[in-house]
Amino acid sequence: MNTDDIEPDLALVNTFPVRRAHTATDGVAEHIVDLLGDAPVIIDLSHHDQYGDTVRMHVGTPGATS
Amino acid sequence: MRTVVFLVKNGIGFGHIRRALLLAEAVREAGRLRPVIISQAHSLALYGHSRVPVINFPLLHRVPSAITEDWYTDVLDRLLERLDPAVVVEDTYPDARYGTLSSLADRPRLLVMRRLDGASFDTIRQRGNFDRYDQILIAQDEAAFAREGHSRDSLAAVACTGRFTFVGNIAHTPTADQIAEVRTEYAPDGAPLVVVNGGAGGDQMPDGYGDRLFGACHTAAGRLAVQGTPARFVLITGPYYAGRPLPETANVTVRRFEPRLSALLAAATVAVIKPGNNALSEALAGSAHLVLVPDVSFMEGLDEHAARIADDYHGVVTNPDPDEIHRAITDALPRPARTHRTPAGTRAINHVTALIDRYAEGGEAVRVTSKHLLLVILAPAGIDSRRIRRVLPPTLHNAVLVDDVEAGPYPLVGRASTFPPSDGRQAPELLLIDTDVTARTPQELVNRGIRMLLHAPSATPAVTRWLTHRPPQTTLLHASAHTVHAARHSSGAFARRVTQLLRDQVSACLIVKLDTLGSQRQHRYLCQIGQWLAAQPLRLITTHDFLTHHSQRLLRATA
Repeated sequence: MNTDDIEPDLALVNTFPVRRAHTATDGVAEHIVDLLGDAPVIIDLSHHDQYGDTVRMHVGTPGATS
Repeated sequence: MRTVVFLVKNGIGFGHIRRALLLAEAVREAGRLRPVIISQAHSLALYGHSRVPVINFPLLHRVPSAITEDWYTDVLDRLLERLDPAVVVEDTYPDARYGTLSSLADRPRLLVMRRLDGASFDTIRQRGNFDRYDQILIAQDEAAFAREGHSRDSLAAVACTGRFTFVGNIAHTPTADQIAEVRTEYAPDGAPLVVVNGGAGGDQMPDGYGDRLFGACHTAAGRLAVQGTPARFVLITGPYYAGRPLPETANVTVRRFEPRLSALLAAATVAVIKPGNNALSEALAGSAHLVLVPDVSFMEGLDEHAARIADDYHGVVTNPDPDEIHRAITDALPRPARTHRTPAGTRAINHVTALIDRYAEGGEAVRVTSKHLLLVILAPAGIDSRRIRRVLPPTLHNAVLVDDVEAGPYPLVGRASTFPPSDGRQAPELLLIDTDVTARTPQELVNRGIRMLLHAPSATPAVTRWLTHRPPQTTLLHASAHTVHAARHSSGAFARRVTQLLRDQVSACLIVKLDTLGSQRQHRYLCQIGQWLAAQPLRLITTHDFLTHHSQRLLRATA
């Protein structure tokens, strides 16, 4: 089977400690809005550690695949 | 530039994201609003070539802990607050989480909805989940929707509430060049293409559907190779495929994802697909013979849908079994190309983006409605209602006359005693029951376009019983209408009756009978009630508005 990597190439730009920073979500939202420029961008917050204690933010430009 | 946010989730298929991308990119091209997609998805493959910004969250109901879920939900809420969207567009399944976000309260909200089976549509409607949307845009045409087997209440809700719009199917139509390009790439020798796809490859049930579908097609490809039948199989498994490895062979190409799937399906001679909305829509726009392999799918009722599509487009419905798949492909390959296709174009996308624009500009009226009254005037026996219309004071301009022929091409309110109209005119939307209608069936009235019955309050039990025992296919709404007799009740009595009717409700219907009133008194009476009504915080409404108002209950939660 072809194992072509189909996911866009995103870079880790930040991590957020969920349990110790619950009140800091404002800053996360602000960070995301800052990343939304004129050019298309993919901001991925879907990755976290096994227990969901640390959320990772990956960012990249559409068109690039890993 | 204001923002329009698309909220979309991706479970096992790709359709929701495909629709959101098509719409968001159309909004971007129009240049009047900035589209942002906020997604919940595991694979980002579909966003790999997006021209609009995407913010992706995990599927929030699958994160490891409650505190993680709360964190994500809070980020989402604060993000939406900052984006301050002019319009919010969701797709198909109203998400309870979005329903409770304070950042989304009081914003124009549209729901784009692909086909649902009847039971699922009922479930969403009866939970009251449609009620939070300004508009529900059904990505089907009306005829296709009517064939889904929806309940009578759902049909009535769609027809009468003014909250649903049929926009047509939303799918990408590839260009001839794009189709030629993938055909050359995947079948350079010109062999017929057999394209296999099961959406994004996820499993709804633990039945190994993907494994069986692709395994069966792989086996069929091997048999055709042995037989010397020229065919090139392209298996697009989707990123969520978790079946056994599929080795590439001389006539089998395997891809986890192909962004040009619509072009590939259009280039195919045979399309073997799970008939979910997206892959099926893209396949129907091409000329491939359809081999439909339904599986359990969330709220889609694929078995029934596949059977209907196979009938309409001369396809076959089969199981993910190697012998059956092999037989179906072998039968389909030599047939001439399918000529019955769905029309190409961007009509549906344009329709949705026009509605987004309208809501973003605030073009849709936002106002508190005053109390309203449907005032029906019954002319004295033997008097043409047009004569009454001519003497109506301007304050009663919106009053409805029974058998009114001047206000439109057909009467606004019909009268059961003169139904059906003897002069061949179209039936009205509302029918005033002033005689025994039980000799007719409710379905007969529905077939003539009647949506609602007006009757005396005392007739409510009889009408309810008649409708319950002989239910029509579409719910026939009914409302009680009080009557005042102008000859017996003064204009003061009229005022007291209206005040009483609207004391604790926002809408009422009142019938005024002008029997035995001379023309002088008639005119004076109408002027008096008109003058009084004009000074009240209410407005006279049309029959259509009355119908729309009364049908809203069909969208409210039933428990």
